[in-house]
Amino acid sequence: MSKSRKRPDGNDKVTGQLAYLTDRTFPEMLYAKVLRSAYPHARIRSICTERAKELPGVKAIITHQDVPGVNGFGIITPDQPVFCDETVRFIGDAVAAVAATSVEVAEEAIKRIDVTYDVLSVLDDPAKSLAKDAPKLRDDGNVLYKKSFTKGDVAEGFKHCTAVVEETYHVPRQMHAYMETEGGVVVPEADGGITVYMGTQHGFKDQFQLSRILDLPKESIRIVSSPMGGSFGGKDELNVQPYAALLALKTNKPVKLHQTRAESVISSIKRHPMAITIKTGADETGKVIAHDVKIVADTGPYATLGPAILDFAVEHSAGPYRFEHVAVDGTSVLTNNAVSGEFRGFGGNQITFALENQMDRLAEQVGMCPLALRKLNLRGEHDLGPLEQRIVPTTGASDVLENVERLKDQLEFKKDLPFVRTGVGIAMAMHGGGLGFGRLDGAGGRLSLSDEGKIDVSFGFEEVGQGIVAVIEELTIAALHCDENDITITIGDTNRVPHSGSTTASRGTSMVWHALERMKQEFKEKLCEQAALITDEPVNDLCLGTGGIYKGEEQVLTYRSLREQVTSEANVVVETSFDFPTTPDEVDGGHYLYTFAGVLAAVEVDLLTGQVNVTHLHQAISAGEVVNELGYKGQIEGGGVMSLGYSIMEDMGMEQGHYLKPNFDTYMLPTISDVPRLSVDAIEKLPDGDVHGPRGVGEIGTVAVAPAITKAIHDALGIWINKIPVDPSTILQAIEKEGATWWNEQPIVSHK
Amino acid sequence: MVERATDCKPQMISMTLNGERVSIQANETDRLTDVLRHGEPSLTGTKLSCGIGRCGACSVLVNGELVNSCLLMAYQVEGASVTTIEGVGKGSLDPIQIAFMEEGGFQCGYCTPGMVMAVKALLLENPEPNDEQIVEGLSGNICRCTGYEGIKRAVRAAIRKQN
Amino acid sequence: MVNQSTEHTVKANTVVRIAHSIEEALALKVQFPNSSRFISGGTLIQLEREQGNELPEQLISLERISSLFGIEETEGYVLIGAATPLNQCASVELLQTVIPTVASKAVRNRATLGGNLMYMCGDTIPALIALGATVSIVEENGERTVSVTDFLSLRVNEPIVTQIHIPKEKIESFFYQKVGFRKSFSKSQLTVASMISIDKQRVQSNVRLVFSDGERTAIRLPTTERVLGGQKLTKSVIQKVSESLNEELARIKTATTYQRMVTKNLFISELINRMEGSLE
Repeated sequence: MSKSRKRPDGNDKVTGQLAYLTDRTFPEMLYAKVLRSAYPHARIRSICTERAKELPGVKAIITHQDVPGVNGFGIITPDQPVFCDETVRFIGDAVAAVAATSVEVAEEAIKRIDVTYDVLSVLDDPAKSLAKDAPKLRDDGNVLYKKSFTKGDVAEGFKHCTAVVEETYHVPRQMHAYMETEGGVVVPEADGGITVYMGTQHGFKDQFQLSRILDLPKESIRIVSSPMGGSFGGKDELNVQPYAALLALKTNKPVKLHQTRAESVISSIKRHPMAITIKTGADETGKVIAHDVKIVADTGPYATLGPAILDFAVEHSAGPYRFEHVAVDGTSVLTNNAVSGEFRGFGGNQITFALENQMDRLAEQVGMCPLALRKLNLRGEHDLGPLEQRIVPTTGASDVLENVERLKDQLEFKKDLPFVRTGVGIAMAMHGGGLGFGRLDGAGGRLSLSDEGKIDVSFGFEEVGQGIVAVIEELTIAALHCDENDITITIGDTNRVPHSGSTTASRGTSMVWHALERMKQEFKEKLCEQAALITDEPVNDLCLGTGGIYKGEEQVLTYRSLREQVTSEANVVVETSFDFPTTPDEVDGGHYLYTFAGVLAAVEVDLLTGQVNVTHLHQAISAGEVVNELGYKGQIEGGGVMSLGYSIMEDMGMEQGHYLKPNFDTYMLPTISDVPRLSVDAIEKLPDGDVHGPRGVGEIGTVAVAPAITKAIHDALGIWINKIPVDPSTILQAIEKEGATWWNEQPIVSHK
Repeated sequence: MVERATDCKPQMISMTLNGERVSIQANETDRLTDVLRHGEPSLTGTKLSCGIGRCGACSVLVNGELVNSCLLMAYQVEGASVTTIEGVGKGSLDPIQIAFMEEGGFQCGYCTPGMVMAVKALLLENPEPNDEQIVEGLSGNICRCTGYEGIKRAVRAAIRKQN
Repeated sequence: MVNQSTEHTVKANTVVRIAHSIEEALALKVQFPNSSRFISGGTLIQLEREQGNELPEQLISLERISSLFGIEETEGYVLIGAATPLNQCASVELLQTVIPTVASKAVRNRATLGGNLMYMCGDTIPALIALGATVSIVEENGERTVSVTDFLSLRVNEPIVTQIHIPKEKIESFFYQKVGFRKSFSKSQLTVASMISIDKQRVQSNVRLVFSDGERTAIRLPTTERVLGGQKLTKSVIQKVSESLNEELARIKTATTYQRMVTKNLFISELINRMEGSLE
């Protein structure tokens, strides 16, 4: 493998030639806009579209009455209305949609749709939703889902603890902020079906959901889902596809819908804000005896993947550690805030922030180095997984910890700057890949020799920027010993690709590798068999190579020539279908393949402003072999900076169900000037006998960054942080309270 | 005096677009990004992301200077020279573009046209910027994928390639 | 190649009227007193437009009035044409710590001091107040020169700002810091600026201390200026200044605790830096 191979999609991206789905246009295209709720919680009394219909240029207006099938969507449970008919439950709920001859007309038409509401009280906090007399967002109340896990007896365990730390942590609502917003074009086809040119992380699932909504057979719905300008989990669930689809069918014209950023902010799913209360106790050696975790997640008004995310957070509550007594109680609470859903890390970021903070505070209480405390409690190579299930053996936990420990010892971070304090912190995480036991986690792939004489490798995955295309190319070349010019890659089109499951959960790289492992032998055999028939050479003498079939060093047949002479296409196609490897133990949601991250962060805290500047961010990652170096590094570096944002500046706050930050002038994303020196160490070794190949690294770079940063702040100032993003005001007030000001008779920093 | 705006028909805006003299029909106050993407030029290389000049995805050069096309109206480029990503590396790739491909300066690629324009503007103004100047030059372009490390590597490589 | 249909328009398009002289601009304003706004770079107007504020019926463009562009120097002043883009203004030494903190390079190629002043918002305003800048303005009844503070009490987007005059001072006397929500390209949480001239170890009496809340408030702190003016910079004087700042900032009802704490910290640290000898 070359590992540093350039991405195949590079040329089109750097020249601007790549047409994203939101760039696409079609003849006679109409433009759509969605009318969303005026209130976070209200009953709809009436919807009148008459005034809007009169506007010249309006071609169709639709509401709930125009949904032929199920008026709902959701990856697991379709409980989010396509169009609300009785009740709106958050400010992004859709009420109507318009198709018109221009965006300007569509925007004006939306303003002319008259909706009257009876306003209801807003549940903008899980505590309000759980109060006794709270209005019910669903018939069965305001709890979407509960999950718990118990091991041993924590009450008993605490009796034996000499050091106990109890704390509540708050983590914010983060926005994906993919640079390309949602949208694209839906084109009605002559046979009564549609082609949906809109980004999604699971084309076949969108097909399924739309089929249900439109009451059309799946075969009539083609989803073209790739490429996307970023997703990070935010475009797995359905978003604006139904509106454009319904309008396209109604008008029999192509309909374009491309959300503005402001529209995307309002309607898109967000990362679950959580309040996590943990009580952890250890004995005097630092061995953790008892660990009691309560998680309250604000899931918004609809399910989407809320339950699965809570499951994941509950599963990872003890992270890479083995504790004797564990009790975890998680509740996903419905509110009238933004819909919370899938986001890179999937509950792992939230729980890891809390867990790692606990370990650091415990270390302080016990009087131990935080690294030593971790080592004492760390899992071993063959230990069971966090839900007591069998998992693939791994030394990842100790490998990453060893790496950051060595780096911490080597580097000189402290600087003597006026009015600045520096600090260093480490944290770690364990992260399960795939969807977990008991979940539909099917995968598959196809190899074929195309009409043009190319080896076409096909997966039902989408390129969102993660570099799956480069991975596919790299692994195919390695598996078949051909050349990049011999390959075409077909993804992101339900008419042309096999089922591979979703492009999520860090499963892509892994599934590509597994699929190729399963297909390569048969594919080689098939091609060589055909080549033997054509060339009369003994089949055992033949093998695949650059450009064609070889006998020894000599090329005897080009791929093109082979294809031309093959009698039946089936003779040069191999498909595979299988499931993501799962634990043999029937533990619902339990994962099997885990990756690990160890993070070292260095910060400077400005004593005058309380602001935090992250100066170094290093990650050690254990995920098996690196397939594409630039891609791997890119995922970890990018994930790290995404979490730097989560730690110090990103908070999509809501008040009374309304967003406080409608665009990028108020919602702060890290710019190049906010980014520290980044470094990544890939720890490729796997235990002998590991057959699972390279793991995906899409998420692992995001999970352990925040607690490393807050520990670095503690190292600098002696202040513990319970809430992110870190608030400079909190830091300043803590500094002043502890009398650590620099000019009250006790100057603590010399400026000369 | 009654103040009523007259019904204004689209105008012809003359400019030099990617080296070519053109005359484009547009309303005077049409957003430049829309004129480029959806008007006669149909150049979708320039992207739209925040729409308020806070992310740089829509960056183009006007008279050699970096601007956010979403903050400009059609009338403001009358007689100006406008360069979009399609005007960079016409025929053969610009060293900046090659560097981006070799160093992992992109992932999803959506910020990339704007980012390349920003690097182009930076190097036009200063062919050998130091790290601080590189950061200042690119601070107006948000990337959500790369963490900027690949972009910094690409810029340094582009500087080397130029010389 | 698909154009959106222009067959259906919702309302009459905004008319852009290009003025080639100040006189022409004023005459256009007289002609359309309530339905027009002045525009130059247009960065603020475009932002507000995307946020839902419709364009006025008329836009009077000042962008082609050549007398509004350019930077000159006299013996005592730097004179900046109001329509000079901010990036060009960065060549003025006294503005070198200010301009790079405003938005991004691309925005600064379009935004102007005149725009900041005429819309009465922008991070440059507290700096201009601290610098003791004056502005030439043209109204219906003629041209006059006013201080920036006085200008801010006039009506928004009415008088045309033609030129900004910055008195030349030693660069060490000027202090400016904007505290954003991230390192660059951010709104301001608060901005402080000061002009503290020190002669023969004494602070000159024309000291200026300016606090801005990052939004529409940019004010001087006269009580503390009086405490500081004429004094030698000693530890006890700095402590008195600190106490005065506490009180004076507390009287600004709209200032948050954080803004008050940081403003005090930044001014005091600047005084410490200017002080000769050590704090002990």
